[in-house]
Amino acid sequence: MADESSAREIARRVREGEVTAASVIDAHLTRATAAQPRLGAFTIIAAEAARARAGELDAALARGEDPGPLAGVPIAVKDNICTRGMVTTAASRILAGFAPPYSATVVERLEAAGAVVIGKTNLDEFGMGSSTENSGLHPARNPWDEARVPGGSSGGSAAAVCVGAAPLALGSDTGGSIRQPASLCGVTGLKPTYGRVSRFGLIAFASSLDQIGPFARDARDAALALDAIAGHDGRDATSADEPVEAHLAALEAAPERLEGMRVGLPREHLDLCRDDGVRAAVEAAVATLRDLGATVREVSLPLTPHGIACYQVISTAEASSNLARYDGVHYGHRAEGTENIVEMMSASRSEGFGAEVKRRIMLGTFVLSSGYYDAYYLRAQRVRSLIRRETLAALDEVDVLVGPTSPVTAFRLGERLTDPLTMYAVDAFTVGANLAGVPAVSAPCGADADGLPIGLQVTARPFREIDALRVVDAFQRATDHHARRPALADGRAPKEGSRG
Amino acid sequence: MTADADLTGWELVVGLEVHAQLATRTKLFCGCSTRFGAPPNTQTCPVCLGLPGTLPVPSRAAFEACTRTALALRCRVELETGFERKNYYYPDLPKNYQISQDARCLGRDGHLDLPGGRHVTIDNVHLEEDAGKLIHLRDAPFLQASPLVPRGDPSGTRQGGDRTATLVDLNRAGTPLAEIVTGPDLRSTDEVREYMEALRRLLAYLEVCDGKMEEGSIRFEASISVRRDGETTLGKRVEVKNLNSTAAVLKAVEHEHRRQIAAIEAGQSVAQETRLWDDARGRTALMRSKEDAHDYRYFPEPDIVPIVITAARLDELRASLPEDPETRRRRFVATLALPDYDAGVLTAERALADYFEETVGKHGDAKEVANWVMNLLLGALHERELAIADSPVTPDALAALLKLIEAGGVAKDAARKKVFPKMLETGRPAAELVDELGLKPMDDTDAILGHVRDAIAANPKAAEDYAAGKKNAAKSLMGAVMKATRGKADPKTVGRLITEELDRSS
Repeated sequence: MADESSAREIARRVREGEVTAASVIDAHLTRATAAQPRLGAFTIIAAEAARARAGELDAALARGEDPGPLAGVPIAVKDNICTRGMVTTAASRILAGFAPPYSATVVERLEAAGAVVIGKTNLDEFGMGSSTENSGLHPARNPWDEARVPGGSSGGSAAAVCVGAAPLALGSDTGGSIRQPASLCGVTGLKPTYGRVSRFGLIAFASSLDQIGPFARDARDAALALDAIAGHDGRDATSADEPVEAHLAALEAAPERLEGMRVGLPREHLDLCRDDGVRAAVEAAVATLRDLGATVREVSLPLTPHGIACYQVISTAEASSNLARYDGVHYGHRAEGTENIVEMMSASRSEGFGAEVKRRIMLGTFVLSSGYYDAYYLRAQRVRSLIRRETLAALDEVDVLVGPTSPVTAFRLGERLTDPLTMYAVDAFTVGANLAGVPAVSAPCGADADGLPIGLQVTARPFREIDALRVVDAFQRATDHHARRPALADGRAPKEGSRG
Repeated sequence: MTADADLTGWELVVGLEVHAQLATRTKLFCGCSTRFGAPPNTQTCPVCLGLPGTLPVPSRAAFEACTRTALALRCRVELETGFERKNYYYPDLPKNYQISQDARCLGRDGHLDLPGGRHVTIDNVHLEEDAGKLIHLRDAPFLQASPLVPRGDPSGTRQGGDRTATLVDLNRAGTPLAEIVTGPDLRSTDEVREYMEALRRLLAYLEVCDGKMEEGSIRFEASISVRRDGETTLGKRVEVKNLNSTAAVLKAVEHEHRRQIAAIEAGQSVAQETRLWDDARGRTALMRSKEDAHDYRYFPEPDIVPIVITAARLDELRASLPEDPETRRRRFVATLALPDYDAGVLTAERALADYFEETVGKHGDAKEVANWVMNLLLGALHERELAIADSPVTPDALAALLKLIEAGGVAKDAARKKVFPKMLETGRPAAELVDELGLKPMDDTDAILGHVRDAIAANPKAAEDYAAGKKNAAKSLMGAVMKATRGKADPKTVGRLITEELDRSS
C-alpha cells in the first residue's frame, strides 16, 4: 500500500482531484514551519510563493489541464540551487540577499512537472562540510536526535524529508553530500552519474565532482524525481547527451526479486568500517539481498584509503577558483569603509566567508600554486584516474557495489568541528563515486544501539541509476527500515537527550 | 627618451603577443551580442556576468574561427584541445578567472613569413575570453553628474569629497579572443611594423577579425630584450603593456631598445619585468617586477569537457582557408610579373586582390589592369567611401573597357578621362558610354589629315619652328588636332601625320 504522503501518491491524488494542491502545500508548510525552530532545516520557507504556485496549479486543474507527474508535490531545494527571484545564498553571508534572475535547470524542470518549491534548505556553506554545522546562518539538527548533526552538506534537505516537511528535496553531492546526510537522517538519497543532471544554476563548489540529486523516502519517489530532472541541458557543457530511461516505470515493472543481479561487496569498505553497528546492519542488508536472489561476491577497491586525500586536493583546487567571483564588486556582501579596491575585495571575502570555506580556499590555492601543482593537483588527478579505472573495473564484474554509506552514524554537534580531519574522514566511502563519476544511492538499512539510522550505499555503472534504484527498491519492498520515522515527524515529543 | 644610446653593436630582439577579437556574432560562452559601442552593460547575461551557478558553453563559431587562424599561421592543431582557467583578481573580470587555454591550446609551432623575408615563428595560438572595461570617473568627468554613479569611492580615487568612482562595463566580457604569440624573432622596429601589418592583413583575409585597433579589436603586447651582436643567448626580456596603437608599439619598442642599451652600458642590468607604456610621456614605467609576477594557477576548466574536432572537419577548415596574403603577393610577382610595389598594394586587402585577379582573368595584361586599379579605381572609390566589393565598375566592366581600348574602340586618354568616370558614376558598360559620348575613334586617315593640314595652316609659326629644327613644335600642333577631332583621333596616327606633313613641307 502506497505511503499516503509519498510524492507519487500526492501527485496522483492532486491529478485525480482527491485533494487540492493548496491543501497539500498548506499541510507541508505547517510541518516545515513547526519543525524549523528545532531543526533549522530551512534557510527560508517560501510560504507565500508556494501558496501562489499551488493556487495556479489548482486553477489549471480546474481548467482540465494536467500539471504533470509531480502535480502539487512540495519540494525543498538546497539553498545552493538557484531559484528565480527567491533568495539563494549557499548558506554564506557573502551571498546574503542574493536573488538570482534565473532558476536552475532542475528547478525549471521540476516546476514544469507540477512540483512546488516550498523553501530552501540549509547546508554547509557552499557545500563544504559533512554536518551542516558550517552553515553561515545556523546549524541544522538531526530529527532523530537534535543534539546530533543531520550530516552534510545537504543536511537541511535530508532533515526536511525525514520530518515530512516535503516528500522530495534536492541536494547536491560533491563527495557524499546527498548520500551521507541521507544515511544519517534515515532517508533515501541519490547522487546521479556525473553529467546525468544539469548543473546549470547549482552554485559551484567543485565543478568536476558536483552533481544534483533527489532525497526521498524511498527509491520510487527518488526515481520519480530523477525522471523529472535528468537529461541533457544545452546550458551545461558537461551534461551528458545520453538517453534517459523512465526510472519509475522501470521499477514498477521490475520483478520483486533480484535474480540475476550481481552484487559486489568492496572488501575495503567493510574493513575500514570500525563501527560494529554499521557493519552488522550492512551485513544484514547484504543477506537480505542474497535472500532476494542476488548473487553476492567480494570485490576489491584497494585505492579506497586514498580517496579522501585525492578528493580534498581536487575539490579545494576547483573551489578556490569557483569561489573567486565572490569579491563584493558586482553582487553579494561588500565590506564598508575600505580605502581601495584590493582592500575592499579582501575585506568582503574575509567578512563573508566562514572558517571552513577559507580553509578550503587556502588549501586549493596552495595545491594549484606554481611549484606545488605537480606534487598535489596533478598527482591527485592521476590518482583520480586510477580510482575511476578501479571502480569501473569492479563494476565490470558486478552490476552494483554495496557497502556502508558512512562509517559512522549521526555524531554530536561540535564533536568533529575542531579537527577537520575527523570530519573529512566520514566521506571515506562516498568520495569514490564522485571521483569516478558513477551513480550511487544511500538507503536506510537499520539503526544503531541509539536508534540512529544506518545507510546502505549502492553504487552502479555510469548512467545505470536504474540498477542501484532496483536493488534499493527490492530491498525496501522486503524490509521496512525506510518506513521508520522519528518522533518529531509525527509532531510527537522528541526523544530524550535531544537538544542537549 | 634616452636618445643618446649608441645602438651599434647591439641587437634588438622582440616578440609580440597579439589579442585579436574574433568577429563572431555572439560571445565565446553565451549568446550575448559582441557589437561594439552599445550602452554599458546592455550586452550581458548571467553567464558573462559570472553570476553564481551559471556555466560557460563554448561557441563553435569562435572555436572554428580560432582554428582557422591557427591553420593559416601554419600551426600544428591538435584534434583534442581544452580550456584552462587563468586565475587572477581584477574588477573587470567577473569570475576573477579568465577561461583561456594554456597546456591544451589550439595551435602550436606555426610561422608567418614577412614580405621583407623574416620568418617569424608562432609559438602558439589560443582561444580565450575577453575581460570587461573599467571606466575611471576621473577619466570621464561627464559621468560625475550621472545619478547612476554611486557616492563613495571603492576605487581609492577619493579626493576631497569628490564624486569619484570606477565603473565597470561588462559588454566586452566574454568576447572571444585569439591570442597569437610569436617567438623572439623580430629584430627591428621595421620588422615589428611589418609583422603587425602582415598579421592584420592575414586576419582580415580570414575574415576572423576586423582589425580595428581603435575599437580594441586587435591589441598588442611586446616582449623586448637586447643583446650584443654575436651573442647567442637572449637578454632579460621586458614585457610592455598598454600599447593602444601601432604607433605606440613602435615607439615603445624604440624606447626600450635605447633604454635597455643605455642601462647596460651604464653598468646596470635589465630586469625581467613588466612595464607600462606612457604614451603622453613617450616612455615606459615599471608595472611589476618578476618577484611580483602573478601566479595564475592554471588548471583545466572543469566546466567544459575537452573539445574534439574530427580530422575531416579540420581538413574542411584547412581547405576553406583563402590563399594567404604573402603567398599571393609572391605569386603576383612571380607569375603575373608585377613589380613588388604593385603586388603589395593589390594584396593589401583580400577583396582587392580578388577584384584584380578576376579582371586579369578576363583581360590578360596584368600590369595594365594593375595600373588602372591602382591609379584610377582605388582613388575614385576612396573619394566615394566605397569598398572594393561595392565598386560600380565590376571586374567584368573594367576588363571590357580595357579590351575596347586594345581593340582601338576608344582612345586610351578618352577612356581614362571621360568613359571611366562615367562608368563609376552610372555603372553602365564602356561600349554604351563610348557610343553615347561620341568617342568612337576616327579611323579615317584622310579626315585626320585634313585636320592636320588645317592646323598647320592656322599655325605657320609652328611649321617655321619645326623647319628651324625645333622638333617640339610638332607637339603644339598635336593639341590643336586632338581638340578639333574632339579626342576621337588616335594620338599616334595624329602624331605620325603631323610629322609626315611637316617633313614634306620643309
